[in-house]
Amino acid sequence: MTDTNRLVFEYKIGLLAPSQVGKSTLIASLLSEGQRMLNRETTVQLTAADRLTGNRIANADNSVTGALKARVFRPMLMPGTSDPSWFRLLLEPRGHDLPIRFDILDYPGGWLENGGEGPEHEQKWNECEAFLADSSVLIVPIDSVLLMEARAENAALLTAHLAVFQIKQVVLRWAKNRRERAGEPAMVVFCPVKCETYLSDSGSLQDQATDLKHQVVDQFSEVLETLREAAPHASVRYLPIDTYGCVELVSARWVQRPGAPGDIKLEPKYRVRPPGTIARKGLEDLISLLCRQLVDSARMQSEQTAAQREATARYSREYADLREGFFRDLWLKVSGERGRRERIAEADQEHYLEAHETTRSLFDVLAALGERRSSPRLHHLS
Amino acid sequence: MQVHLRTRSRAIDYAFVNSAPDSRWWDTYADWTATERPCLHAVAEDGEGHWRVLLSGIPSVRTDSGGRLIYYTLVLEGAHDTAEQDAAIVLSLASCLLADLDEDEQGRGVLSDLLDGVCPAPEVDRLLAAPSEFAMERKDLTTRLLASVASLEPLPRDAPAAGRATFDRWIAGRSAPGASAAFLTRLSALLSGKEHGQAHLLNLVSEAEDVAELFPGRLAVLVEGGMVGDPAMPLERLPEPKAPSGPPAPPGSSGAHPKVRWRTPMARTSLAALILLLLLAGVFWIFGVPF
Repeated sequence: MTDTNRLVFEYKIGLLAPSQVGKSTLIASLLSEGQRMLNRETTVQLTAADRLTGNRIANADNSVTGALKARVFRPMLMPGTSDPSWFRLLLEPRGHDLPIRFDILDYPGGWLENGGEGPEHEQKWNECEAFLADSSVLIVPIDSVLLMEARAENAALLTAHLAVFQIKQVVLRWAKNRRERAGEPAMVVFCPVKCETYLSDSGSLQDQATDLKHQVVDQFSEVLETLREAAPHASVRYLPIDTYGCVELVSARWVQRPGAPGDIKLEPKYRVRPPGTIARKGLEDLISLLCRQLVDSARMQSEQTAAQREATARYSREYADLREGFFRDLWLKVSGERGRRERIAEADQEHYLEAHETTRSLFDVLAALGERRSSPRLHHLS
Repeated sequence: MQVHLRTRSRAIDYAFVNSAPDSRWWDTYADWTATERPCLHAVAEDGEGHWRVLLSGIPSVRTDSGGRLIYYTLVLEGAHDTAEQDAAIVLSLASCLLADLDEDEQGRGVLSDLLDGVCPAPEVDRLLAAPSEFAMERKDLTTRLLASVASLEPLPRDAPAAGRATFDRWIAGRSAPGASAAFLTRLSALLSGKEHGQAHLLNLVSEAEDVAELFPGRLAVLVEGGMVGDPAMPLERLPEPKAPSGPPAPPGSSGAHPKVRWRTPMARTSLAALILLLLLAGVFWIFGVPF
């Protein structure tokens, strides 16, 4: 991209969750599932922005699928995250040369829990926080097993285990940032993950969809309130996700663990539900939401740029056509200044038309994306 | 030599158990490696007088509360004029890591047993739960850790691939003939200060193209090949890094067309002024105005 006048669309997507919720798994699933889903559709395609991100996606995807090999769930093959990493991706509307670049950050959830305490990662956590605050979309993965299995005796500790306070702090910073850019779309998606056991549409015998949503709204009520106050224009969605679709909870017991809130921790055990085929639900809605949001952000950015360029082109044309008296005009003609002004006016008009065409194309892509119907899992929370 | 050990407990996320290094220098290589899988970075750059080594992704028998694998990260830092014993310890650790990977695709082996022995689960739980307490216990852990790693015997290796291993910059799969030996030879030179540069065992790299921007100096790269890439990739010389493009040439110095200077605004303005002057002179002459 050597043309400096070419529109560049770059966005960030932030994930906000404490340790062990499954951020890395969600990212891996989102990207591999997203690529498959978007490849089936004709409007956009998702690709890695560089080879190293492609390798990182392959590594993450292999870990997730490896954990389900031989129909036995082996979380042992999925280590947690100890250092931050970036996924750089491109969303490309088919038939248009309009790549939309977006980055997803994965980081150790413990950094969110203790606010980057400790000299060794304080600075890095500050960088992560800045990334999260600058994100166009915030995804809040929530451990649905923790939410649903807390029971009355541990209910008081649930807020601490979910890191609601820490999430609220980051969301507040994000919301203030978004308020300053009220012209840009802003979205927060609350995503309970590992929902296979609680939702009947994924094969569970029990349907606790309403209860799950109620729990999310109840536990994150302060975060929702913060969003309403600090960024009222932000779209807030609720979308439960089956991380695997074929893994269900066998047991969940609270055990003594020093260092965890209240020195106890929920330890779940899972089994693979026959026939053991990965059938994730909710991810298609999430990738669809993200695509729409990113394309819409690009459209708004393009629209603003087109408006600015139109004004510039109009001014350049008026300046080029300005009559300044016989001798002055003769002078401008002879000295070549009139020609220079003409060329600038023509170039500005061309840049405006390019931006206008980009906006129109993005409108078309957005309209095509909008045709996909969302599943009943997706709800508005604002 | 300083040694820092990072792991997690069942409940608490990854953190350094005994002491933390001054900087997170390994973040520079985050694009090329995932520290949750076996990897190694060794850095000894010109003018620094010291070396830094990280070994990560060494699996523990412990699992977290979700049943997921827990692993260790070792960060070692020392000066070039350090005792030879320190360099020998790092070489033993590196050779054990490579040998463990040969035996088990997750890298479970001698190093896992050694670190699990030094860090029993209750101690990890206690130390991570109170990060500002237990200074004596942390010191004791460092001493035990150093003693344990010092007891490791360096493993015998094949001879480095003749000729090729002398390349300044190369990449190979870790199980390619002679590659591990060449890697350890390079590592040894970096630790002793005889050479400057970097040596890495990377797990997100599959081709020479992937490391084009990793480091411009002397570089040895082993492809881990567990999830990405081929561990048997033959040793390949890496191209020399591209020289940075120089500043743009000053205008007029690149042999521009001779007519170009007559097209500049100044030349055009001067020409227009001359024509106007001649026109005025003609008008005055026709109407007999004295001048």
